[in-house]
Amino acid sequence: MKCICDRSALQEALSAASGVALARTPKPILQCVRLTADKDSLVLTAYDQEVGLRFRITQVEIDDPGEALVSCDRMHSIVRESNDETLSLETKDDHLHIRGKDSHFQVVGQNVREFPPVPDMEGEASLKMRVGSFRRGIEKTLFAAARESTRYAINGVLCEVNGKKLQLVSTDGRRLAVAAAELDEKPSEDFRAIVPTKALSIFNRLHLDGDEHLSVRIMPNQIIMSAAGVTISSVLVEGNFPKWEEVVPEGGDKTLEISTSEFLSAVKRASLLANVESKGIAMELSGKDMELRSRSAEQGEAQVKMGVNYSGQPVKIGFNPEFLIDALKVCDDTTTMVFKDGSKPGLLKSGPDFQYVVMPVNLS
Amino acid sequence: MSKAYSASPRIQKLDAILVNKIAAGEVIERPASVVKELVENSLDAGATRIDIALEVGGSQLIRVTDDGCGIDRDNLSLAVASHATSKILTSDDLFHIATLGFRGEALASIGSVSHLTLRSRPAGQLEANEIVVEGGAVAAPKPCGAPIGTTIEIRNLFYNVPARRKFLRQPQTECGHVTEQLARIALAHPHVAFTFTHNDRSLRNLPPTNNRRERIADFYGAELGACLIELARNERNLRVEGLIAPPSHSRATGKWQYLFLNGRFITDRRIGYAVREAFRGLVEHDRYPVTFLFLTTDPAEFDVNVHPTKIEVRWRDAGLVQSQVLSVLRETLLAQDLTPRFRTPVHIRDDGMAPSPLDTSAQERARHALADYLKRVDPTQPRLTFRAPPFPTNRLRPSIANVLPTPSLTEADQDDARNGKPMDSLRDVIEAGAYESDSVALSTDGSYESVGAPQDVAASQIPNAALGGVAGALPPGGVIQIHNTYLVAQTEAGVVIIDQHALHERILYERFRERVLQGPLESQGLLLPETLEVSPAQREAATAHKELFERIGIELSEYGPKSIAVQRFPTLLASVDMKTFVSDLLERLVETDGDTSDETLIHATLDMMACKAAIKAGDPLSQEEMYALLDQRHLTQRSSNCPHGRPTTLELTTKDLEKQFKRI
Repeated sequence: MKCICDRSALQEALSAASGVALARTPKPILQCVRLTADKDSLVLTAYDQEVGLRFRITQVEIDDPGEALVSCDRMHSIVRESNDETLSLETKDDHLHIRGKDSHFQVVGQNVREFPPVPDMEGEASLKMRVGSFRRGIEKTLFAAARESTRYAINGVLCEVNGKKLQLVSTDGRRLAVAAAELDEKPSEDFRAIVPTKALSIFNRLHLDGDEHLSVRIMPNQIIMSAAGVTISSVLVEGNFPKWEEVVPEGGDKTLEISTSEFLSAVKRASLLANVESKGIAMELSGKDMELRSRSAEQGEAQVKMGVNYSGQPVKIGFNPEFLIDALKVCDDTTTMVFKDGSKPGLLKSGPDFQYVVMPVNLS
Repeated sequence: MSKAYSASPRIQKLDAILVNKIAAGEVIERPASVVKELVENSLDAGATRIDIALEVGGSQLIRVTDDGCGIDRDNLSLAVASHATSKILTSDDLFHIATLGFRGEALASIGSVSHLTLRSRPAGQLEANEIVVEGGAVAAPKPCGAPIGTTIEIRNLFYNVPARRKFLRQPQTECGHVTEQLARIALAHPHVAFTFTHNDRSLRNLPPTNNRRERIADFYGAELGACLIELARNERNLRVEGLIAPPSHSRATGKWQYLFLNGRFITDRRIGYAVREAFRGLVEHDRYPVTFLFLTTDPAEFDVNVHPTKIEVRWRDAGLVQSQVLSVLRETLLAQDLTPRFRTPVHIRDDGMAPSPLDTSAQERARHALADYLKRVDPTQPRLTFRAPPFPTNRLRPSIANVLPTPSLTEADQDDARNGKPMDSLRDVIEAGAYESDSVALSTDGSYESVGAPQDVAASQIPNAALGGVAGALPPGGVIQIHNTYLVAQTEAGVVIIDQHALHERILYERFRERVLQGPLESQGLLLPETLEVSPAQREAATAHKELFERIGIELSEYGPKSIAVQRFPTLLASVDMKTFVSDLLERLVETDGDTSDETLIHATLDMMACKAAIKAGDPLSQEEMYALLDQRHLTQRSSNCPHGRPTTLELTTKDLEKQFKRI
C-alpha cells in the first residue's frame, strides 16, 4: 500500500476509530486500526467485536492499493501531533511508514488477516433520515441511559418506529427520556431495537453535516448506520426494554411553563451547596414564585428565587439537581413542567417530541 | 466426656492393685479444694448448671448444686466410700482418663473431715435420697424431696481437724481461692452455667456460652475479653487453642496464665517457658502476659496421675508439646499489628468501630457489628496534626468525590498551608481543645489500663508532643500509598500507617450516623423499581423493619410471592448495587431478629453502608484523595462504638525508630 492522505481527514477518521478500538483488551488485535487503500479511497476500520466502524477517506491519492494493520492509539497520536498538510503512508516489510516533511515513523504492523471482518451496509436500508435529526434525538436521550445496570436492556437506547418518526427512549431506573427523529418517509415495517450507548455516542462524535442522509438497517441482532462514507455497526442489546409508556405520568394538574435557560441557571445555582452525597434540591411553587433551595450540614444553605407564571396549587418537591440539569441542557427555549404532588414523578416537556420523567428525591 | 455417664452409673470398689497405683496424697487442703472436687464431680455427671454457695469463706458451708445425672439410692453409700468411683473400671482406664476425677476418694476424704449431706435424684426418678456423713460415719440413705441432680452440702469443714481449721485464712482470702478455683474450671467449660455466691452475695454469674472469649469476658470483664487475640493450631495430634492478651495487657504476676489440657486446668513448667519465650522482648522482664491456652489431645499422650490434685501431667513427648505451643504463640504475635514487635509503644488507634472484613459472610459481619455495638465503649484517641493540604479538591475523581466531601479551606488557610504553617482556623482551635480532653482521658482509657508499665507513661506523652508541636507536619511529598492499601504519612511524633479502607469506612460510619440522627436519609425514588427474590424470612424482616428502612431511605414493597421491589434508595449510596445491598441487609436482619433493638440494627445497618461505600483496599488513590481522607480523620474521634475493631492507624514515633536503629 502506498498513498498520500490529507492529514486532517485522516485525523478525524482516527479519532472516531479510537473511540471504537479497545484501550485494554486481552486481544491486542482489537487495539488496532485497519487501513485499506483501494482505487480511490482509504478506508479505516476499527472493531471491538460489538461495535464496528468503517470510515472512508476520499481526500487521498492512491499510488498503490493495499492494506495495513497498526495500533490505533499510536497512529492517532502520530497523526494528531503532526503539523503537515499531508502525510504519506507506505507499507514495507511489515512496517507502516508514515512520512511528513520532517518526520518518518516506522510503525510495526500486525497481520491484516487476523483482523476480524467488520459488518458493512449490505442490502436495503430500513430507515432513512437526516443525520442532524438523529443526532438531536440521541443527544436528548443518551445521557439518561443506564451505564452498567444489571438490567442489560436499559444499558442502551430503545429505538422504535412510530409513524413517520423514530422514537428514542432511555432510562436508568430513576429517570426516563423520550425523543424522536423525523424519518424521510414512513417505513414499510415497524422496527424496534435497543442500541448500545457506545455505538450512539460514537455516532454523535462524528463531525458529519446535519443535512447528510443517514441510512439505518436494523436486523434481528444488529444495527448498521451509514452516512457520508462512515458506517457504524453494532450488536443490539438483548432483553426487554421496560414498558416505558406506563411510566410517563398522566393527570398532573400542576403545570408550569418556564424559560429553559433561566431555570437551568437557577437550578445550577441552587445546587451549589447541595450535599455532595445526598444530592437534593427542594423546589417550591406557590403563586408567582418559585423557590429552589439546597442545604447541607457541612456546606450551608442556598436559596434561589425566580418569578414564574404559575396558577396551580402550591407544590413542594425535591429533585436530584443533576437530573434536572442533564435534561434542561437539551431542552428547547421553553420547558413545560407538570407535577402531581411531591411524591409523584415530575414530567418535563420541551419541543414537539421531548419528554422527560424524573422521580423526586425525598428530602428530610 | 461426661456423656458416657449421663445414665446413673454403677459405683464399685477398685481392686487393690489399682488402689496402689493411685498415689496417695492429701486432696482436701482448704474450701477451694472441696469446691474443686465437688464441681468436677458435677461436670463428670454431665451438669449444665452448677451453683456454688459459700458461707463464711466456706468454713461454715459449702454447697454445690448441679443438674447432672444424679446418684440412685443404691449407690449413695458407695459414693461416699473410699476408692469408690464410677469413672474408671480398670487400670487401663487410668491411662485414658476422660473425666476430671477418677480417684474415687474425694467424697470420702471430705466426708471424713466435715458434716456432709448428699442429696440426689437421678433423672427419671420421682424420689430423691439423702445420705449424711459426719466425720466419716455414714448414716443410712433416706428418702427426701429434691430436684433432679445432686446437691452436696459441706458444713463445718475440718471440725475434727483443729490444725487444719486453724490454718484457714480470712473468709475473704478463702473466697478468693474459691474464685480462682472456679476460674480454672469455668473457663474450660463455657457451655456450663455457673453461679457463685458468698454469704448470699452473688460474686459470679456465668451464663452458658459456646464462646470462650465470652466466658472470659463474663469472668474478668468485657475489656479483657475484647482485647484478646485468638489462636488455634492443629498439629500432630495436639490441638492448641487459645486467647492471649496483647503485650500491653501484661500483669504483674504469672497468675493470669491459664493452661487447660482436655478441659482440666494444669500447670506445666515447659509450657510456661514457651509462653515466656514467645513474649520475650514484648513485655518487661518483671511482667507476665495474660494467656488462656486450651490444649486438646489423646488422653494416651499424657499421664495426669502425677499428683493427687492432678495439676501436673507427664507428657509422652514434652519437648514436642513445648515447641508446638511456642511456635503457635510466636506466629500469632507476629501476625498481629506492629505493636508487639516494638518494645516501645506503637499506638494502635482503635477508632472503635469494627470495620467488618469484606470477605466474611453477611452473617459474620452482623454478629460482629451487633456484638460490638452492645459492648460499646468510648475509646479516646490522640489526634494527629496534619498540615493543611494545599490542593484544589475539586479535581477529585467523581467516584471518590462522591464519598469525600471537599474540605472547605479558606484562602487564608491555603496560603498558610502553602507557607508551611499549620492551619490555625477556628476549627483547629476547637479540635485542639477536644483533643486535650482526649489526652487526659487517655490515662483512664481501658486499653492502657495496665497501670504502672513504663510504656503507659510514654503513651500519654506522645500525643502531648504532637499537640504542642507546630513545626514538622507533612513533608512536601505528602502521603504515600503502599500496595494501594495503606497510607504512610509523617506526623509531629513520627510516622503513621493508615489502613485506607478502615479509615474511610470509619469516617463514613460517623457521617452516616450523624446524618441518620438528624432524620431519615434523602432517598431517590425509582421510576423502575428494582426487584429481588427473597426468602420468606427475609420478606418478613422487610415488613417487620419497615421503620428502620424508612430511616435509611429505603422503601420496599411486595412484588409477587417470592420477590420484593425496591421503590426508594438512599442517595448516599448512589454507587452501591441496590439489589446486593438490600439482600445483604435483609439477611442481616434475619440473622439478628428477635434480640436486638432498632437502635442496634440502625448501627449494624450503618456499619454495612459504610463498608460498602468506602474505598477498598487495592483502590489506588491520588495525592488529593489521600489528603482529603486524612483531612477527615478528626471526624472519627468524636465517638465510637466498639472496643475490638481493627485499628485504622498505627503510629511509630521517632523514638520507636531511634530505639529500633539503636540510636538511643
